[in-house]
Amino acid sequence: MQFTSESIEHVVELLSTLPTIGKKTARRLAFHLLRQPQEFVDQFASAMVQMRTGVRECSVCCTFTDREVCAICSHEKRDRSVICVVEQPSDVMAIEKTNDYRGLYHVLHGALSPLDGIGPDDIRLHELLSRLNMQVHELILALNPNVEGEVTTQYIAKMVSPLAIPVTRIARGVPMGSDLEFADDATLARALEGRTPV
Amino acid sequence: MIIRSVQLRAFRSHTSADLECAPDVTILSGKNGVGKTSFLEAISVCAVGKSFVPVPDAALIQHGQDQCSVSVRCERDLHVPYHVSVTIREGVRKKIETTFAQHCTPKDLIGELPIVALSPDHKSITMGGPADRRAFVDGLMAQSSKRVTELLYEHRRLLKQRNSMLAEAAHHGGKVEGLDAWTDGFLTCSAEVIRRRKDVLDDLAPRIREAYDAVSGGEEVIDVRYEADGVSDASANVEEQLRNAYEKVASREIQRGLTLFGPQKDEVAFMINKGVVRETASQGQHKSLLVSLKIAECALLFERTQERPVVLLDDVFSELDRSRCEHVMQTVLAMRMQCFVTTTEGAEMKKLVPVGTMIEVTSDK
Repeated sequence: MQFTSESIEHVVELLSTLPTIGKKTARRLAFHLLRQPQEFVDQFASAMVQMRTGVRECSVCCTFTDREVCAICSHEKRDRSVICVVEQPSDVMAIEKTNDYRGLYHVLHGALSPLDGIGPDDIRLHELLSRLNMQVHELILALNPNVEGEVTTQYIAKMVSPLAIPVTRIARGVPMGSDLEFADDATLARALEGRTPV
Repeated sequence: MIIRSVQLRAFRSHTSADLECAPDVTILSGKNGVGKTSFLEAISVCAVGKSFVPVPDAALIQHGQDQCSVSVRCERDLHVPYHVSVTIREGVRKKIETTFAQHCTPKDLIGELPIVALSPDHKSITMGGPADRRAFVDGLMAQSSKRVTELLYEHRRLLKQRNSMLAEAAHHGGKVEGLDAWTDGFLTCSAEVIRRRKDVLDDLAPRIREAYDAVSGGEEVIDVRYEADGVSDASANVEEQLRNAYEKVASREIQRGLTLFGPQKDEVAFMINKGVVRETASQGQHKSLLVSLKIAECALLFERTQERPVVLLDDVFSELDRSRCEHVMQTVLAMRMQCFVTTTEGAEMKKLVPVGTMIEVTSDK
């Protein structure tokens, strides 16, 4: 096989390193970019550079933002007595989409995982501790429902227990709007284990 | 569950092979090395994501090819169609598609197409070490409940994570931050694994006794003893007992950099006339017990899932004598379970089994 353009192949190689992008999709994206006007590609490239250089972690909640303090943390109408702890900035977006949560967030940027060399000092736990003051009345732990998320949840609950701040975790179970018969067995079994009185 | 057809592409020695299956017994006959077992392995890959023979996935790909694929078309006991196809490439995750979803993991497959396999390798269940017996019990539990499949995956992951942390602690000569959280998670999950194992063994033991009586004539007393590591009474507070066991080994764990307690060290001891089978049983007793374990597995799997498992008998007739063979076949047929048998002596086998279809397998089928 011979390449007709090394620059195209270079872009394809780079694009295929992105999550969920395979070689075929990378090639389609590269050719799509090639067919776009020069201004679009310039804008596209500069937007990425700007994002990389301009975006930083919020000095309060550690999510990604363009400012020193993100829009959520600086919004005066948010409830400052509740903090929801999540693993990734994308989880903030997921919860924000519900339009149902008015408290603040804290992004850990990961979960404990010794196999990946991630210990308590490698996620934003010190930053979380420094935020827990008299104003905070509840800490909601919304970490991923896997082994690492579960252990991190327990670790944080233990770490916070001397401060006497109520710690809650999001429920696990069947999704709304679906029938019980279509829920997968493992999720349904978990939901049964975590049943609550009515 | 009835398998209607099996398709192999670049799998083991088969470039392309299609098998239409009989609803009762399919006898795959042929010389050694023609690829009879490959059909049973293909069914196993579609049922639990791997072969029942302990080999790496890459060994399943035909020599000179970069990928292989297998698929089965089945019909559930309630006549609902089910389809699985698995593509294996070296160094890449298996691509699994089923009737329910296009991108599945091996975990999703387990239990959908229940199987009970018996091959010469399974001798290790009665003759080998505790790991083989745990694998037998865990395999049965996983196929009968998705929740248990998830639990066993969680336990394995927690153990890996905790071992990694202990290795780090051993390397740095002391305690590392966060070990307690992994220990707590491991304790809770381990206690649940022990409770589930006890529960399944309580159900399995009477069925093993019944099956063994039928095979051997009822003169010996069979017992199953579950020895959970660090737990003296698996029906009492298991987590507390495990915590006590942990406290005894905690400092040694840090020295060794390894988890030294938990269900990954459990033993399931089979006893004949109060003697441990592994140490005291004769060759005949081993064979009778193995057959009984598999018959009990079929019965319990059916009872728990209400789906008849597919029985895979790989060359067992070279290991078992005629009367035990006859007994296995009669029992499986009486339970109305579909059965696949591989043998080098098709004609002899056909005399034992009056029903079913015999297929002559050749190397290029």
